Amino acid sequence: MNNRRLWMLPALFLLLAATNLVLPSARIAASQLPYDTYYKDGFGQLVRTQAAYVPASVIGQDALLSPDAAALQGGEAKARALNQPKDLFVDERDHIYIADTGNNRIVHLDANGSLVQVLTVAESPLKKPSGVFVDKQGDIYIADTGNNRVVRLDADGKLLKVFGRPESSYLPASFKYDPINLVVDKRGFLYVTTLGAYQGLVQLDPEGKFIGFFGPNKVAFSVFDAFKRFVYTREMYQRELKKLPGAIANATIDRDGFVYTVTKEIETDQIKKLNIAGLDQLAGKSDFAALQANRSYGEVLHWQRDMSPQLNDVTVDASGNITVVDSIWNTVSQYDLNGNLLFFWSSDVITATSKTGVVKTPAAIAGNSKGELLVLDGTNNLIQVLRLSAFGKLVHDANALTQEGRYEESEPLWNEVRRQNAQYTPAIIGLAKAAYKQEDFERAQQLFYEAGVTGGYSESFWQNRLEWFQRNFGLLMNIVIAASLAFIIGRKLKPRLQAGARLRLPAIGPQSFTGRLSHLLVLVKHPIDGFYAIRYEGKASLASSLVILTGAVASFGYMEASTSFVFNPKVQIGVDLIPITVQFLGIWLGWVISNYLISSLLRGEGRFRDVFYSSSYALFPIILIGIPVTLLSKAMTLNELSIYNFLKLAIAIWIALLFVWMVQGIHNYTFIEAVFIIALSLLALTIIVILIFILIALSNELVNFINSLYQEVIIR
Amino acid sequence: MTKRKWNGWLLVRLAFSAVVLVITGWIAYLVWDPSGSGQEGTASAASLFDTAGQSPYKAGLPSEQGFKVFAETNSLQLLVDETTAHFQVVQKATGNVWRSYPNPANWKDEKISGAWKNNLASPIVVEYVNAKNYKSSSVTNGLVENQGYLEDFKQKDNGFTVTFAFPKIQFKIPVEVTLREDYVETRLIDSGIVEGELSLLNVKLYPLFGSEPSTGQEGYILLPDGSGSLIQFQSDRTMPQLTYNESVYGPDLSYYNEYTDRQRIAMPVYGMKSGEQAFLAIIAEGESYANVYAAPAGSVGISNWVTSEWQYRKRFFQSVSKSSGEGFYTYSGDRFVSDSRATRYYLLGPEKSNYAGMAEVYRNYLIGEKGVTPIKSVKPEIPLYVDLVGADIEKGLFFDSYLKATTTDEAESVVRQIHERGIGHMQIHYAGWQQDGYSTHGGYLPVDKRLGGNQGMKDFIAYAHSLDIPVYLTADYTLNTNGDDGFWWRRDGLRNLAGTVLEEQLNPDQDASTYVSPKFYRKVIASDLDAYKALGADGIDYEGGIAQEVITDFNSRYSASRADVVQIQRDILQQSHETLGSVVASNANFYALDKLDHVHRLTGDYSYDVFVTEPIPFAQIVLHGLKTYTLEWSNVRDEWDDEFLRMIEFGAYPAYVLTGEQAENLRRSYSVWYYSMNVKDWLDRIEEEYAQANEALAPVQDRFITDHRTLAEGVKETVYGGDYRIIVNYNETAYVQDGLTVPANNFIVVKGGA
Repeated sequence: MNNRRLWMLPALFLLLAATNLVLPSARIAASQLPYDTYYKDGFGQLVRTQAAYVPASVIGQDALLSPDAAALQGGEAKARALNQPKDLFVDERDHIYIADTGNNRIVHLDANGSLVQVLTVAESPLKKPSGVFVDKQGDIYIADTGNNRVVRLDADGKLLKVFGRPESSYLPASFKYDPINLVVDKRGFLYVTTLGAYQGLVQLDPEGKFIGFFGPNKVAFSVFDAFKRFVYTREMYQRELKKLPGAIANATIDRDGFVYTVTKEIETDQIKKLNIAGLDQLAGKSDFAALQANRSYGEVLHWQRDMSPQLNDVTVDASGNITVVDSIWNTVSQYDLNGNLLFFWSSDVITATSKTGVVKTPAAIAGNSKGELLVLDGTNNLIQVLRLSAFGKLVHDANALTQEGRYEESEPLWNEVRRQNAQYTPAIIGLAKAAYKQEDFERAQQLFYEAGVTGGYSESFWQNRLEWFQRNFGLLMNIVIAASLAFIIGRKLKPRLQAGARLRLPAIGPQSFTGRLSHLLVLVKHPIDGFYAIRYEGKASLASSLVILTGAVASFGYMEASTSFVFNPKVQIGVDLIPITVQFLGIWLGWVISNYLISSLLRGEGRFRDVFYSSSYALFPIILIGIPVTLLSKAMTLNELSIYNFLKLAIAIWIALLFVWMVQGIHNYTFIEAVFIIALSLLALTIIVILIFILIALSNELVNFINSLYQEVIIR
Repeated sequence: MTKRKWNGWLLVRLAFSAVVLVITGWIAYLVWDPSGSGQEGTASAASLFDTAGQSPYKAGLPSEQGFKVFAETNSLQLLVDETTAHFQVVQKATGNVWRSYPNPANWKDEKISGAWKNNLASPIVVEYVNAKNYKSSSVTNGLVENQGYLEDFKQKDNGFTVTFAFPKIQFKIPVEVTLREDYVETRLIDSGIVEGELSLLNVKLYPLFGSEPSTGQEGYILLPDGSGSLIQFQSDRTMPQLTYNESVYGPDLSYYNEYTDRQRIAMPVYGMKSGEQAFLAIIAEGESYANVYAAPAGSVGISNWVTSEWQYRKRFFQSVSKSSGEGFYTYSGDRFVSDSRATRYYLLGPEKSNYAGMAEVYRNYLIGEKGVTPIKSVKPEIPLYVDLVGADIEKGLFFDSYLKATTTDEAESVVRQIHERGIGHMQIHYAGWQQDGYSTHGGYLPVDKRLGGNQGMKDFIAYAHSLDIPVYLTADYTLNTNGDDGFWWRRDGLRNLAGTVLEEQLNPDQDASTYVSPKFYRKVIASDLDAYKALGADGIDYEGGIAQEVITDFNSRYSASRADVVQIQRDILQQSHETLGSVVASNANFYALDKLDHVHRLTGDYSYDVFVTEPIPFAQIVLHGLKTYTLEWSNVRDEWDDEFLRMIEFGAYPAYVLTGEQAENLRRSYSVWYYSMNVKDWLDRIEEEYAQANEALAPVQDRFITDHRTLAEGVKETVYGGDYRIIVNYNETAYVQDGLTVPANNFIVVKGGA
């Protein structure tokens, strides 16, 4: 015992150093910015791009501590560097305003980063101000968080108005008024972001009267929540952690009056572009809307899976491009005005040094008229200035033309983008749109396919199909006429042919292989009797059911891999059939086992082989309908989506019914019993799967434990 | 019957208990270590220190009057203070003085307090740790803190020797200072080092040599960071606490390395300019065990200082669990022993006191002492470097799929198309030709059949030779992915201090490749060279580790220290050169320079540290006229215009990485993800860029860069001797000065005149 404690002691001194374990690779490229820039397409595939922004400069201590700056602050003794600044605003003259929260002041720098003035509002001192906004006249609005108010100053820092907590019966008494940021629209209305306010932005009129909440988020309500609400008593449900919508973290306003908000702690729609009525203008607008039903903003690299991004601030440039910063991974993501991703970049957090162009804690982001991005670093107390690169500018210019619908003009620009980066998807989309506009539908279809845009592909395909029909109208009509003639003649000849056929057909013995296969026809017409016959009349054999099973798996694979791109976008990146097949077979086998186990407990008459055979036979609709549907899908566009969906639904329903009838037939149950048995079998299947998972996880843990024990013994 | 059975059972139980007891006892023995060998050592070390008879080292700076002339050369004078072992070097022509301690004029303003103030004045600063205690952290101290004293101070020819004794921590470190014609050399004598119970980690010798505060003069620290970067003397710096500390020739992956994402130090040099005087320090011997440490004003004291930090032990992170990343820090056991550890400080007067002057000193050193020979004959036109990618692989579920990019036939067509554009002087580097493409290492030969096999390669090379174009085959022998060449990772893999075989993984979604022991890859290369010769290759283009990575190998079968690895790599280059006639390496460390004919993809960038004020082409100034070099491939540039101008400013030749026209999509390939490589997209650009570069650089191919400076913000001038200057303007507006106009985003060549 004592001995063991001696062993454990060193283990207590273990240092957790997982984050420091990254091995620096000596194989870095010769030109090397401190971050890599990426694009992510609709399928989530990463594409590396040239840097869209390159480090330009750092505005840091010297802006506030240089002799000139010190004089403006009342001498060297009073001069202070930034201290935990929280917000940044750039006005139309490119002057920079920083909410220097830790020093209870607002710092005003000119376009070159030289100090202009320091605002503390001597008549009513600021306390932990964390947001600042400057309107067109130069009036300065400050979210004075520590004093629970918003103040409005003139350009020289004289106090004009104080906006305290608005008095209104619409404002709940429990509502906490902690303004952390604000924007002001052209009319002078204030949109105040308050700490943790899930109701939305507080909208005030110029006099400070409460107008209402603006742009609230919806509560995420999952199936599980619905289940809980159904099962729990009222008290239990209320005792559950209160489900609240995400609180808006920050907001900005563009020159057209759209208010942009970013929200933390939600998984989708983190960015909203709200019009004056508070409606989101981004929903469903992006090129990949069909692929991304639940749009998530704030990009991450694949290996950053364990934590989702938390967007801290948003800025919008003159062409409407939206740039957001994420405080978890230090990622900056840039979207165009419809929410299409353009670029994102992030750098590893380096504790040993600090680099130009990299922030430790991104507190706020703003853009200026030169197209530069300014990112405020709340830990290092400085501003990193990033300059738009030549490549970034080219993409911005081309995309602006595309968004304005000037597709022809955008084409040469996109061609140049594509020449420099053959894999950058926005260029392909831009070129596809230009081709569509120029009615070069063949090329448009091909480019949209390359880019993975189903909508555009479907439209181009529709045009091409129409053209094909028009071109081949004569031929098609001839075929129709020929077919009708053949039909009429055929009907006249039918009796004679039938007689002949009957004579020549070989007799199919009921127990032969082909006979067993043709038992499928019985299953189509009389499913219950057919399955009964499999149990009691030996209508199926291992060979025949394996043939059908193989056929069904092959057809399933064919459907997955060959359905038209319009309905199955993932074919564009290539479908790996092995995992799909394994999954399909695994579930099927699990079903066979669990159904056999359950039914043998509950007076089922089917033997294991009967369950196996008939479960194979029950899959035949996949072959019968699946293959024609897959072929047909290649001739369909999104306009015929409902037909396609109906056919797929038909397969599913037919198979479901066949399984019910199968259970009924082979185990000799009533319909209700069969449904009950199926439900139990599925439950058993779930339990089996869970047990397997637990077993794997536990044995992994055990191996790890033994391994680290071994390491400890060997090393020390 | 029963009796016997019972006995057998007892025997088994007894044997089992005995085994358990023996194992427990053995483990306890290992943990407890009863021999007490440590104490014995302590006693013997302690007896070496005679604190009573020695006067302890005094805090503060030496008095300026105590210095006596010890040595003298034509241009320099060495003055030494015997009580502190500090020295001064005086340049006789100008009277400029470089002190081995902080400038006394500013010492009263020194705000740093306590131990560090004493350290700054100390001739030697050591870092040590109690390695026996896992919890203890390292301590950095000078002489005063340890009641240190000087022992055996002896004057000798041209200098002196002295031993620094640290009685409190029981270290003795002998050093030597020597004055030569144009430099002063400080040297640590490893053979004489005495260590007690504590472990010596590193030593900074005369750390404040030549240091100056920011006030009073212009100046900068020169760092060998990337192609070279400057830290201008400045007060009120942003984030003043940051310092620079990097290992010469890059981090050693067999130890723990603090993650800094910095460019590797390829040149063992650093320097400082203050006012009209400057020095360039060359770590001339033992540089594989040195770090370059720089502390700009405000980080450690008010002085700007930069020094060699001599490594004796390195930190290591011992992981104990693969899944959770848990572990603890420890240190390597034995001290690194180097035959010699010497830093030379070359002293530069007013006319040479800038980074171009420093580069000249280093260039002369390379020519004079390292056997690097300048370029002798040049063709009338500059070379164009074309890297062709044969193939790569993409990660599949069970098998990686092969992505074909350029077959040998297509390679011929690429070369023909470029040649038809009127570019006659070209050099081809063919990569990804080996079995299973670019990211597959091991079993390189024969050439992959899917590209055309050995015969296809021979035909291609013969075609290229018919146009007088040399073909180099690109290879990385420092990794192995497939176990070919008789490589077994357990036996032949490069192992770190804990004995774990090192692996490299470019991306978490890909399979890792194994590092190969240097002594093993030397064997493999030696046996492959004849096959290269049979293909007709003009040489090998070494990518990856050779000439770039120096990693200690703890594989007991092949064990090699950092210095050994450097020597192994030099042997390989030498042997390749002898067999094939030529050899090229990518972004090489400068120890390989004398063996190379071309340095490919030499870094032209810096590490973006906040404290760096200006990146400079120091490496390029050293190299131009010595070796040809290129910067990053043109078609992988982030910004076309700026980086083209940088290529002209840095005197580098154009380089492209290309594939044939039928290349498969390489986006998801292991390593050749580059944006756009199809030759048809680049022909026009190549022609245009080559013409511009050729016009500017062809006349000066064999000339040294004699000066380089910033004329205005974004305007740089590179001077090749008195009569040839290139002025590059990165700005959006034209630069007009002295009757010269440099258009926006463009460059001009000024010939003739002074």
